[in-house]
Amino acid sequence: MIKKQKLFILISMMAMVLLLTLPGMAAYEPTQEYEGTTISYYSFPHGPDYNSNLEDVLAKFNELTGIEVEVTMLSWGEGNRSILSAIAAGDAPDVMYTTPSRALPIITFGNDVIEPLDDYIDEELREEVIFNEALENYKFGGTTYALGHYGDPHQFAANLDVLRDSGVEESYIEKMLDPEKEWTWDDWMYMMEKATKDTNDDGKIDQWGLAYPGGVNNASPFLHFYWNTGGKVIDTEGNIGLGGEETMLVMELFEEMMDKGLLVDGVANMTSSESDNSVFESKVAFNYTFPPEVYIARDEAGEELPEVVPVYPPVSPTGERGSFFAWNGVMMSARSENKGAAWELIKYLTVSDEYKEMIAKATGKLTPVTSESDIENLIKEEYRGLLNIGLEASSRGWYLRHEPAHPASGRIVRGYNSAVQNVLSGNMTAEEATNWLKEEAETARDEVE
Amino acid sequence: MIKNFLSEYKYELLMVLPAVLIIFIFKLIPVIVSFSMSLTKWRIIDTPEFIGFDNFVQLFQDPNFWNAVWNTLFYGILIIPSVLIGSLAVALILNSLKKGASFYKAAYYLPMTLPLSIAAVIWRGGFFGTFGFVNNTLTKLGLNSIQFFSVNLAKPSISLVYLWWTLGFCSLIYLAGLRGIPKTRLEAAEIDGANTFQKIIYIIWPSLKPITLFVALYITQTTFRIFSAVFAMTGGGPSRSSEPLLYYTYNWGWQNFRMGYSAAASVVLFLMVISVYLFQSYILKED
Amino acid sequence: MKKEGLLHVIAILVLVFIMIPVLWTFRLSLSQTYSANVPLIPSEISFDNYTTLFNGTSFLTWLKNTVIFATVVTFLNVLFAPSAGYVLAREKLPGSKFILLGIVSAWVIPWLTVLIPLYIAMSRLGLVNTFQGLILPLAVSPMAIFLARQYISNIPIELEESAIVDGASKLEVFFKIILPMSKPALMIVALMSFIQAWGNFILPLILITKTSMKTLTVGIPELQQQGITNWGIISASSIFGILPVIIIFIALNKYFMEGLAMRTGMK
Repeated sequence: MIKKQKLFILISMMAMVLLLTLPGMAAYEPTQEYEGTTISYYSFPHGPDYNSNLEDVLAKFNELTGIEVEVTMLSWGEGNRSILSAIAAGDAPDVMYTTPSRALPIITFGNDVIEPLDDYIDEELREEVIFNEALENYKFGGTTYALGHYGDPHQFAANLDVLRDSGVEESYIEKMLDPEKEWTWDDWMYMMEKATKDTNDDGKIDQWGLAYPGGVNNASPFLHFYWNTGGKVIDTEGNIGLGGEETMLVMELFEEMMDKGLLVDGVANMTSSESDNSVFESKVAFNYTFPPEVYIARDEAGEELPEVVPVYPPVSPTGERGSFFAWNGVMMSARSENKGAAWELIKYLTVSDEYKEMIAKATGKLTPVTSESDIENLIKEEYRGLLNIGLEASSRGWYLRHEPAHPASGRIVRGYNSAVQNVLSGNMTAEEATNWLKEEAETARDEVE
Repeated sequence: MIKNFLSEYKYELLMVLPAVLIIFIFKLIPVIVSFSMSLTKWRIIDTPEFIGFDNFVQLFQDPNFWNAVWNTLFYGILIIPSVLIGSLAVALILNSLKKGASFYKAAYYLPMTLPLSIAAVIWRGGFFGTFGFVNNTLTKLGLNSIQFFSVNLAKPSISLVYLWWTLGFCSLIYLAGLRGIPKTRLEAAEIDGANTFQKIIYIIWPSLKPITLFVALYITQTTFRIFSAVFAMTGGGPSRSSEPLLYYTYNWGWQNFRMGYSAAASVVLFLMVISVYLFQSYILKED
Repeated sequence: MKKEGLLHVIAILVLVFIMIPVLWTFRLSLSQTYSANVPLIPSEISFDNYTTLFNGTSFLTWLKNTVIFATVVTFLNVLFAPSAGYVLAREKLPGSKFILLGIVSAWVIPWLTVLIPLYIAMSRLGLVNTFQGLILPLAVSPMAIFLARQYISNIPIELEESAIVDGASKLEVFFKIILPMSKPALMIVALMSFIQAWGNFILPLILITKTSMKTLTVGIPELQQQGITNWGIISASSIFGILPVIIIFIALNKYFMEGLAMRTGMK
C-alpha cells in the first residue's frame, strides 16, 4: 500500500514537472485533424534561396500535419493583380501573403472576402508572439484580418568610414549607436555637412550627406522621415494627418539639405537601388534605409565593404523618435473550403521554429517569435545589426503602427513622393509642398471613395 | 438565302472563319464586356453598380486625364514620324547594299526580343541614370550631368527607348515590302532615265503605301499604348509629366479600385487610336 | 563605290545604336550585381548566373514551356493569318471592310484593359493553367492578319485574273500564286508571332499560377526579392530570350527568302 502511494506521488510530481516545462518547448503544435487536405497558398518571393527553402519548410509542415500546400509564387510588381483577379472570379486561394496596404482595400471594398481571425487566435498564440506589432498591424476597425509573419525593421544607414574620414567626432557616432543616448536632427545636419566634400581634390564634390530615392513610387522613403516625427498619414475615418506640422518639418529638412547641397546629385530622380548602392560605395554618409539583403549579398560575393551600419532613430524636433517596422502577413479567404487547414498553415508560418529559422538564415529578417537568443544562434554576427536594433527599438516602443488605415493610403503614396520630389527639384518651397500635399491627400481620399 | 450565301462563299468563309472566331471570342467579347463596365462603379472584388455616364463626366473634368491625353499625343508626335521616316530610310539603305544586308537584318530586330520592361531598366540604370554611362562620361569631361528624368526630359528619354525598341523591326517590315516591288517596273523606269529620287517618289512610295499603313498603325498603337517603359523608368513622374493614358487607366483601375472609371478611360484611348487609324488609312489610300 | 561605303557607315551606326543595350544586357549577365549601373569592363567574368538559372530554379521547365507555347502560336499564325489576309485584301466577302475594322480594333486594344473579363471567362472555361488557355488567345493575331492583308494587296491582281482565265480554281490561285509571292510577309508573320509569344507577359501572368506551367517572362520575376533586383540573373534570363529567336530567324530566312528569287524573278 505505502509503495503504491509513493509511486503515485512520484508519478504525479513527474507529470507536474513535465506540464510546467511543456509550454517552453514547441512553438507550433501540429494536429492531425486535417490530414489529407490540400490547400493553396499564394506567396511572394524573397529570392531563389527563399523559394526553395519555403518548399522544404512546407514539406516539413506536411510531415507534421498531413496537409498538402500548393504554392503559387507571385511577383512583387504584378502579384496583387493576380490576387484581385482570383477573388473577382471566385477562385481565391485559401491562404495569401499580404502587406497592410494591399490587404486593407481588399477588406474594405470586397464583400466579406477575407476571413476575420479573432475567433481563431487564442491566448497561447498571443503569449508566443514577442512582437505585438505583428498582431496589431492587421487590425482594421477592431477586427484582425491577418497575422504579421515576416518582419522588416527599417532604420537609417550610416557609412561610418565616410563619417570618420570626414572628421566627425566619435561622440556623434556613439550617440547614433547607443539606444540610451540621443542624437538630433541638428546633429544629423552637422554630420552631413562634414561629409559633403570633394575627396579627391579635383574641384568637384563627390561625396554627399544623404542618398534618397526621389524617383520612386514605393511607400518607404518619405515615411522613414515622416514617422520619425510621429506624424500620421490617414486614419480609419479618412482624416488626413498629412499637411500639418510634421509634414512641414520633413519638407523643411529636405529644403535645408538641398540648399546646402548635402544631397547626392540627381537625388530627385534616383531609384532605391541607386540610393542603396551609393552608401555601400561610399558616395554618401547616410542612406534612407539599411538594406540587409544588399549588404548580405555583397558581403557573400566577397566584396570589401566599408563599415555601413543601421543606426537608432534620431530624436526629431517634435520630440518623437519614431521608426518604421513593416510586417508582411498572411490572411485567409472567407470563401475557403478548408478554413481549419488554412488556419494551421497561418499559425505555422507565424510561430513555428522551422519558419523562423528559415527566414533568419535566408533573408536575415524576423518572425513574430524571433527572440534575442534566436538572433544569436541563427544569424551571423555581421548581419545581426538591424535585427538587434529592431528588437531594442521595439521594446522601447519606438515603432509606430505601420499604416495604412484607409484604402486611399496606396494612392496617397504618389502624393507625398511627388511633394518631396518637387522640393528636391526646387519646384516648390517646403511650405508650398506641405499645402499641396494636404490637398493631394484629400483628393486621393475622395477619389477612392 | 443563308444556304446560298454559305455555298457561294464557302472557301472564303473557311479561310476567314478560324481567325475571326478566335479574335472574337478571346479579344472582342472581353472588350465589349470591359467597355460596358464603363457604365458601372466597380471595385474589382465587389459587384458592379450601374451609374450611367457618371464615369465619363468625372473623367472629362479631371485635369490629370487631360494631362495624360496630352502626354500620349506628345509621345506620338515624337515617336511616330521618327520611326516611320527612320525605318524607311534604313530599309532603303539595306535594300541598296550589295552584300552584308543579312548581317544587319539579323541584328536589327534584336531589341524587340528583349522584354521592354527589362530593357527599360537597363536604359535607365546603365545609360540615363545618375551614375550611368552618359553622366559618368560627361562628369569625366568636366561637364554637368544631364537629368534625363526631369520634368522636361522625361518624355523624350522614354521616347528614345521606344524608338530604339521598334526601329529595327519596322525597317525589316519595310524591307519585306521593298522586296515585293516588281523589279521590272524599276528597270523600266531606269531605262526611261529616272534617277533615284524619282524612282522613290513615283514607284517605290506608291507601292509601299499598304505597308506604310501597317507600320504607321503599328507604331501608332505601340505609342498610344506606352506603359512598360514608363512603369519601369519613371512611374509616370515627375509630377505625372511622363504619364500616358494607359498608365492613367491602369492606376485608376488597380490602385484606386475604380474599374468602371478605368474602362471609361480605355474607351477614350480606343477611340483616339481608331481615329488616327482612319485618318492614316485615308491619307494612305490605296490606288 | 563611295556610295556603298557611306551606306555601310550609316548601317553600322544604326547597328551600334541598336546593339549597345543588348550587349550591355549580356555584360550584366556576366556579373553578380544588384544594380544596372556597372563599369563597362567587368573586373571578373563569371557564368555563375547561368549556372544558377539552370540548377537552382525551374528555369529549364519555363524554357520548355515557352518554346512549346511560342512554336505552336507561330505555327497557327502562319497557318491562319495569310488566308484571312487574302480574303480581306481582295474583299471577297461582303462586309470585308467591316471585318477589317473589327480586326484592327481588336489589335489596338491592349490585353491590360480586358484582364478581368478575360480571366473570368478563361476560369469558367477551365483554361487556367493550361497550354490551350495560353495559346488560343494568340493563335491568330490581328497584327498578323493585317500585315498579310497589306502585303497581299500589293500583289498585282492581274496575276490572279490571268490564272483564273487559264482555268485555275480559287484555292489553286491562293496556294500557287499568292502564297509563294507572300513569302517575305510570311516570314515576318512567323518571326513576329514567335517574338511576341516568347516575350508575352500579360497572358501567362493572368492565366498561369503554377510554377511548373509558367513561361520565362513570368517565371523570372519569381526570382526577385522584395525591393532589390538581381540584375545579373535577370539579364542572363533575357539573353536566353534572344538566342532562340536568332535561331528561328536564321531558319526562317533560309526557308522563306531563298526560294523567292528563283520563282518570281524578284530579288
